[in-house]
Amino acid sequence: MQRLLITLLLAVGCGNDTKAELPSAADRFPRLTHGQWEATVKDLFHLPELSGLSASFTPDPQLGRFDNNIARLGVTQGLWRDYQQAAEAIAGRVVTDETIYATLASGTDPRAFVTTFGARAFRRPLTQSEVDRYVAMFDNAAAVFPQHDAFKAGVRLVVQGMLQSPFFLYRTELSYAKEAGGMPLSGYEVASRLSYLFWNSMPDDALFTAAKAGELNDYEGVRRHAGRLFDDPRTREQFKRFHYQAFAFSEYADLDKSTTVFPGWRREIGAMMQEEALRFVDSVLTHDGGVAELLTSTTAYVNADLAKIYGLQGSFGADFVEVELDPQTRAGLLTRAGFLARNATLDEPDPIHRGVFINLGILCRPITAPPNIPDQLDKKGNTNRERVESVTGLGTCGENCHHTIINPLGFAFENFDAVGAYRTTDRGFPIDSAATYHFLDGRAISYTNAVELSKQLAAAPEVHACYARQLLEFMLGRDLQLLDSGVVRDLAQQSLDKVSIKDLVLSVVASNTFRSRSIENRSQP
Amino acid sequence: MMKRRGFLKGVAGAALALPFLESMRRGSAAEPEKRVYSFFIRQGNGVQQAGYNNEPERFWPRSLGTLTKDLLATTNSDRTLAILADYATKLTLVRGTRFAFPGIGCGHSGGLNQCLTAANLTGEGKDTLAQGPSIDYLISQRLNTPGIEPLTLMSGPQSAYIAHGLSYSGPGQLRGAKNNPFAVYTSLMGVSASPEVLQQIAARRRSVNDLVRTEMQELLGSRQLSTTDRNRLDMHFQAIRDLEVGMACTLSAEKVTSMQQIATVFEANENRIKVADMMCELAALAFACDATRTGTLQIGMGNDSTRYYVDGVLQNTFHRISHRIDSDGSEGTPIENADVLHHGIDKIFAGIFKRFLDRLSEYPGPSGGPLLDDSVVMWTNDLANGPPHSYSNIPQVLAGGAGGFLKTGQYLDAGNVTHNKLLNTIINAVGIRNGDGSYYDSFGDPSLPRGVIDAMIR
Repeated sequence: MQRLLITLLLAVGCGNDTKAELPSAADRFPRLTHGQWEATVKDLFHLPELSGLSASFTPDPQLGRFDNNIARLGVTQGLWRDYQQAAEAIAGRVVTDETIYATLASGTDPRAFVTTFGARAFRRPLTQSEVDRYVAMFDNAAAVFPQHDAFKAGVRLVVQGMLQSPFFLYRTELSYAKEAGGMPLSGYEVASRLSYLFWNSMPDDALFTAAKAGELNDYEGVRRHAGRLFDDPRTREQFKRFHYQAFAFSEYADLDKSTTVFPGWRREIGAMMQEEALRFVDSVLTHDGGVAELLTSTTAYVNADLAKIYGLQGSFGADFVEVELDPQTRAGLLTRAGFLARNATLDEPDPIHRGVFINLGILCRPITAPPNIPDQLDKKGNTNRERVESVTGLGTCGENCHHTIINPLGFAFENFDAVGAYRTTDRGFPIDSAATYHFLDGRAISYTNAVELSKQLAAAPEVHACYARQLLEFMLGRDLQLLDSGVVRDLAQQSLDKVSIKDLVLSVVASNTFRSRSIENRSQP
Repeated sequence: MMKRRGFLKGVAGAALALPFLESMRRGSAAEPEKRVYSFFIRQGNGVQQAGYNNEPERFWPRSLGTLTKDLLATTNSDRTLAILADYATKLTLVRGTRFAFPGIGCGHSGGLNQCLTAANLTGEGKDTLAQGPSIDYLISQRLNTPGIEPLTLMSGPQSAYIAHGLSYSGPGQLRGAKNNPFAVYTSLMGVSASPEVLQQIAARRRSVNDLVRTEMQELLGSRQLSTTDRNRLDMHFQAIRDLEVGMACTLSAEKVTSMQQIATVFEANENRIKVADMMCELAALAFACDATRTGTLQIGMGNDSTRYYVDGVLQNTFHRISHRIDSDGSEGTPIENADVLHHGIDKIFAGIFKRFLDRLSEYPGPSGGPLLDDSVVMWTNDLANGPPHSYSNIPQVLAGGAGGFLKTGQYLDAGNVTHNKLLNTIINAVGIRNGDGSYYDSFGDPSLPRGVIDAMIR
């Protein structure tokens, strides 16, 4: 209900929170996702590649929109045992791999090792009592690791312990110094927020140094470091991850099509469509594109199989190459093979699911779930569109949802068949892809095809508000709350004003919401 | 084979530093006399049974009453359950149970969430969640050594339109399911070493656990923790246990190798049945070495969209076949012979269940007979049939006598009761009772009629 309320407020732009810069109350112990655990362990021990150990971890339940949503991130008994086993495996590797050991434990002073390694494992300097505790553990290690010399035994046990510590497993945010408008996070806490946002991993030395020097305590410092982090290749992977989840690219990978209707179809083509979509969103990001480009760009990355679907002339091989698609027929993500083929049956376009996805994923417009499936419906008509209209259009029980909200968006794509190839006729009859869509506030847009619709969507405030919501949700790793609506509104306006995705991200990073936590103490509703 | 419960009573006479809950629960009055294992396998999308559009009955046997091998294999050879004929005397086939709560816009999600919880639902559509714990979790809480969870398994992808939704630890608390057989095996395998080395491992773990507990307690004492923060940290704190390290559960090298071989493609459509078989193998192993007492296996996504092979031919997705149309929505081109294909897929699931019973029969159980006799295992579904995906007459197929508690070898009609009564009966079968010794009768939503299905009990 709360989520719905926020959606409505944002969609109609009637939020009136003048203290938009106040941060929302948020939980303070986000656990590392399994992907973050992997990347962090790799960086912490300077491993040549990922350990792969997290592949055996108990998977997190699918709650919330993104895999970093804090609602998913608990430590169950099963996961605790997974962590224990993995910590033991890593600690064993550290003392048997001389290269790793040499970079980690050069001296002979237990206190120096605990202090230095601990600061990287906990992503902040240890307190005196923490150092004492781990030094005591170090000193007692020889008895339980008789196969090692005393120092190695100490290193192994401390590594085993710190990898199971809540200060390693969670990004703890414990600062409680009050300032007007919120509690600023400490420099080290901001450093972790930055590194996990951009790299999905722990801070690097430069970030630790900046935190220590107090450079992350203000807007300018954070913005400056965020710019540096953004330019690292790992950031591209992270925002591919965002778009992959926001636009459900995972669903492109395993598509089936009728080989009677599409003789060239192979299962592998779905994965190619997924790869194309990832390369596309990545190119928009790296070319300083914005949300409008996502919906209108004609730049594409294709191999031979995809070139054929797009009707491209020329010679193509297995590698993906950059091409420009025909601007008369293609515009942005919604006219690409992945979206079109995913939302199609074995042999026909599926305007209903195309329309549903755009409502939910592009416009963040809630749709009432359909009633439990009725028995087979008797479809009539010459074309796919007519047949869908005959059972869901005016005068049917689906009229309210389908005729006004779902179908008009889906019908715009009737020019694209079940694999996403362009067509001008359906069963010998001309395609009708013209429709009119009414936004939640009653405004209407009319269009004659998918290119026109995509361009109109690119100019619609609702689309930018929806993207802003999802981006902020991903960046903060939690569901949004009412207090976030000011930031969303600001982001949405910037996006509408053609600000790039990169600059949207950087503006969130520099905001109060990102750099501090709420004074309010949220309790469970 | 060393038993966990023996270990917890003390290593070398030393009392272990267990959190308070541990010492309280073990050995309490709730401990049943017999060890009974339980397991729940979920098929999605309903089964092909009579009740829709003049489709003939192809699932249940022709008549209620006593089951024999001959009756199932011959008289009912055209029925799905004929595949289980070898186990006729160990089966309890229960028709006439129904889910109490209507799905909220999505029958699949609503059924998946309540089939093992009998709980009411919240949320909407595919994002529906159950409002209470599932039966495996309750049984685990009562029968397992603290720190041991139910096995929570899946054959299928982690991420899907509707993903795993079977096992809950509490209202809205969906649990993650492991879907990589090799990873499950690794976690079951334990450590094999000399007693001296095992003691060193245990001592290291205690040392780490003690320190981490101290850190967790300090965090729990931090300023201004929200309720959700506190719950999150407390769940973690309670998860830290000083468990036995010497238990060894092992499979043959050949079986382990086959699990390793698919360790990167276990989510693939082509491996759905193979992974389901492996998970059943692992569940039987886990019970044989008493690593856990209960568990679940979800085969396929929420609205199982696996493409199964029927008679050697790759078919349309199961979800579409179950709707009889080539669409994931409410309308689409009819799929030819969809009811026959649905029946073919049901037989695949019957085969998986049959092979699970084979595995359970190969291991000895605590009573000395086959492990199956000391178990109660159920093949259930989150829907009753193809269209209209009804919640009435859910196909409930049980096997194993639960150490003599269940009256097996029969096909009975429970009389259109809510299925919490079936789950209550299973809870009693594993040895759990009310505090006063009477039958446990209150699983699921408090609004449901209480009780057990008497006809199932010997």
